[in-house]
Amino acid sequence: MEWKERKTYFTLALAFVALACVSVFMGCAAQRKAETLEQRAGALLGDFNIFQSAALHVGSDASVPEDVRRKVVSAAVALKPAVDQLDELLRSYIAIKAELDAATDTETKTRTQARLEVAAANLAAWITDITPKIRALRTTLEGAFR
Amino acid sequence: MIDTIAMILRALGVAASMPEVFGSKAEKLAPILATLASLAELPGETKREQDALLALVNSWVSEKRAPSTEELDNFKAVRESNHARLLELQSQLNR
Repeated sequence: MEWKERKTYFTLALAFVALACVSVFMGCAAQRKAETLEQRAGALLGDFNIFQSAALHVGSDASVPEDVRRKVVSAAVALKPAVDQLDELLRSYIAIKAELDAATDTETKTRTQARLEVAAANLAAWITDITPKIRALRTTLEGAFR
Repeated sequence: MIDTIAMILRALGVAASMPEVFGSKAEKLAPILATLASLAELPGETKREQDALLALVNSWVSEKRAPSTEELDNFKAVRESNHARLLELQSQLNR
């Protein structure tokens, strides 16, 4: 078999598998399903766990080149503090919302409502900030074979 | 099907590393094929995790509620456990 012919078969095989991998990673259906701020934040926390598992899988595979493994593992490690912060902001938002539901007098309701608005703005800002970072982690994983 | 693709890729990777099978130029493809095989093995597990997460988010949506403290604690426990393993792996890789 000529080199040119072999190269064609290899390229076809690579393209086929790349497509299969990307189609799975493109998922993230959970984030699209989420309707509220809390649900979106929760879906992001769940998605990050999935990408951590994927990074562990690729990072532990001795047959994968070391620089690729290192890059994938580092990306997952580096993003964890931001995800912890998202978790804290979400818990805080949920707690304030529960306080508002439990409030009986108007003054407490007004005060708690103002705190809830601040918490919602912080949570929304963090979601906006972290979403592309989690997407970048996915891209790193997808790009591991490029 | 993906498992079969992964197996084929592993076999191709081994074959590519042998110059007598695909020629010396194909040797360069061996690490690429190994990486692809590793990624191809991912979907089964990833799909299961994604399905579980999707079911959870669907339950939040249908019950019109936020994630419970218990659910957030579960996420956190998995995150911490994965992170500890990733840190260990990172230190091995940097040695």
